[in-house]
Amino acid sequence: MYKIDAKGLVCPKPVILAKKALVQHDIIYIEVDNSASKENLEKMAVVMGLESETKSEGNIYAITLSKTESTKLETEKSEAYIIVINREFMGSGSEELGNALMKSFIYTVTETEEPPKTILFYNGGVKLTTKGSQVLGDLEKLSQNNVEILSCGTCLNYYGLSDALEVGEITNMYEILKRQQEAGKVLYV
Amino acid sequence: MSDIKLTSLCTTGGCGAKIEAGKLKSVIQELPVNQDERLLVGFDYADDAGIYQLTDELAMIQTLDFFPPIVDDPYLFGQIAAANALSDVYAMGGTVKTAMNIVGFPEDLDDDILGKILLGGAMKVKEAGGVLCGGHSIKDAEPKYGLSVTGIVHPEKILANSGARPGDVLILTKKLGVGIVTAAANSELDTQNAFEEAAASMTLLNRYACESMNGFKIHACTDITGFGFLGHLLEMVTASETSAIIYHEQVPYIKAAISYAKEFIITCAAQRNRKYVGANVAFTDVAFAYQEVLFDPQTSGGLLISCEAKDALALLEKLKVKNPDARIVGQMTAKSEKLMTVI
Repeated sequence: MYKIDAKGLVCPKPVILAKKALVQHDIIYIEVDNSASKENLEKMAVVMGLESETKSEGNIYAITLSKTESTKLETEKSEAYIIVINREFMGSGSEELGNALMKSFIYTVTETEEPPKTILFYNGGVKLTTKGSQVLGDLEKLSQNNVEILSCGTCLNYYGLSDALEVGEITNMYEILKRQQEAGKVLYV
Repeated sequence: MSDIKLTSLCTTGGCGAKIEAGKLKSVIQELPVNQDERLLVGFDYADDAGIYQLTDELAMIQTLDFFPPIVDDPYLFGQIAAANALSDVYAMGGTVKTAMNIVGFPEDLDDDILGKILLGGAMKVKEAGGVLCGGHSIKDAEPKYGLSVTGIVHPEKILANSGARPGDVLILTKKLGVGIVTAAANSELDTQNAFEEAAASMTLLNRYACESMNGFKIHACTDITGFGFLGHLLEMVTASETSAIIYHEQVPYIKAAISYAKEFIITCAAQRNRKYVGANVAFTDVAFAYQEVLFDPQTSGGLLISCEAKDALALLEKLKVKNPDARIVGQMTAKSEKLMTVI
C-alpha cells in the first residue's frame, strides 16, 4: 500500500497527489487534516468508482482508496491518447479530398474537449509540420495547448525538409515507439 | 522587484478565503439588531451591501471586501481585489462614489510590491468613476488587500437579492471557473494556459453590466463571488421565495475549468459551498465536472440578473457589448420542494 502524508496541504493538492499515485498503485493510504480535503477525496472515489474507507482521529483523516477490478480497466482506458499521422492526405482516393479531410481533421482536434497528449508525424505526415503546410496555424494552437507535436527526423531528411520544420520538435524511432507503447490509445489517421 | 510568489505567503486566496456561509449565518444571528427604518438593506437576506436611505431620492450603499492574494502579480492582485470590492455596489444597481484601501502587509516584504498592489486598486477605482480617499494598513504575516466602498442609488432603483418572480429569466454575465483555474495555476497545473482568460474576467468591472440594466425591468440581482454560482443563486431564491431551473449546458464556463475539474483539480472552498447548498439543489444528468464548476468560488465574478422574460433578449444584447460571455442560464419558477434544479 502506497502512503501519502498530505497533512498541512489544502485542495487541490491532496486530491492531485492521490490521483497521481493511483496511476501506479492500486491501493493508496492518504492522511489529510481538513474535512474539505477528506470530502474531496471521497468525491473523487465515487466519481472514479474506487472503494474508499475513512478513519478519523481528531482533525486527522486517514483515507484508504482502492481500485476494484472494473476501475483498474477504466483507469487504463481513460489514459491519455495519442494520434499518429503517417501521410500528407487523409484516407486513400482523391488527393484533393484527402487534403481537405486532413485540414478538417486537425481543426476538429483543436476543438475537442479532450485533446491528445501527442501527435506523431512520420513519412509523408511530416509535410504537415513543415513550411507550406496548410495546417500550421492549428498545429501551433495545439502546441500552445501543450499537445506534443513530434516529427520523425529521418523522414524530414528524406524529403529534404530538415530546415523547414515550423511547429513542434524533431524525434527519433526510439521515441516514436516509446510514445505508442505508453499511450492508453493510439489513433492512426 | 524581488521574485517572491505572493500566493505562496497564504494558505487560501481570493474569495475562497471566505468563511463558509453556514457558519457565518449562525454567528450573525446572535448580533443585536438596531431597528432603523432607513436601513433599506441589511444582512437579513445575505445581500451584497448595506443600503441606508438619506433622502427620498438618495440612498447610500456601503460595502467592504478584502482577501489574500489569488495571483502572484501584485498589480494584477490589486486590480482584482478592487474590481471584486466595487462589484458589490454594482450588484445593488448603484454608482461608485468613494473608496478606501484596506491593507495587511508583512513587515519584511518589499515596499515596491505594496506600491503595485495599491496602484492596481487605484486604477480600478478610477475606472469605476470613484475617488480614492484614504485607507488603513496594518502589519500582517499574510498580505491582504481590498476596499471599503461607498456608492449611491435611488431608493426605488435598488437591485436586491429578493424580488425575483416566477417566470423571470436568469442571466449570468461572466464565465464560471476562475477559482479552479487560479488553483491550477498556483499549483503549476494550468496546462491549458487558461490563467490569462481568468485574470481578464476577474479584472473586468461589473460597472458595464450594471449600466446595461438601465431601462429594463430587473427584479433581482447579485454578484457571484465566494459562495459560487449555486450558493449565490440559493440566496436569491431564498430571499425571493421562488425556485430556479438552470440549464447547465447554457452556463458560460472557462473551458479549461471543466477539464481541470475532470482531473480533480478541485478546491476546498467549492466543497464547502456544496455542503452549504446541500439538498437544496437537484442535479439531473449533470456530470461531476460541471457540478464542481457550479460550486466553484468566484473572485470578482459576474452579475446574476433576474429579469422579466420579455426583456431578456434585448438586455442580453446590450450586456454582450462589454460582457461577451453573458448568457441566459435558466429561469425562476414558483417555489417548489427543490429550490434549485440543474438540468
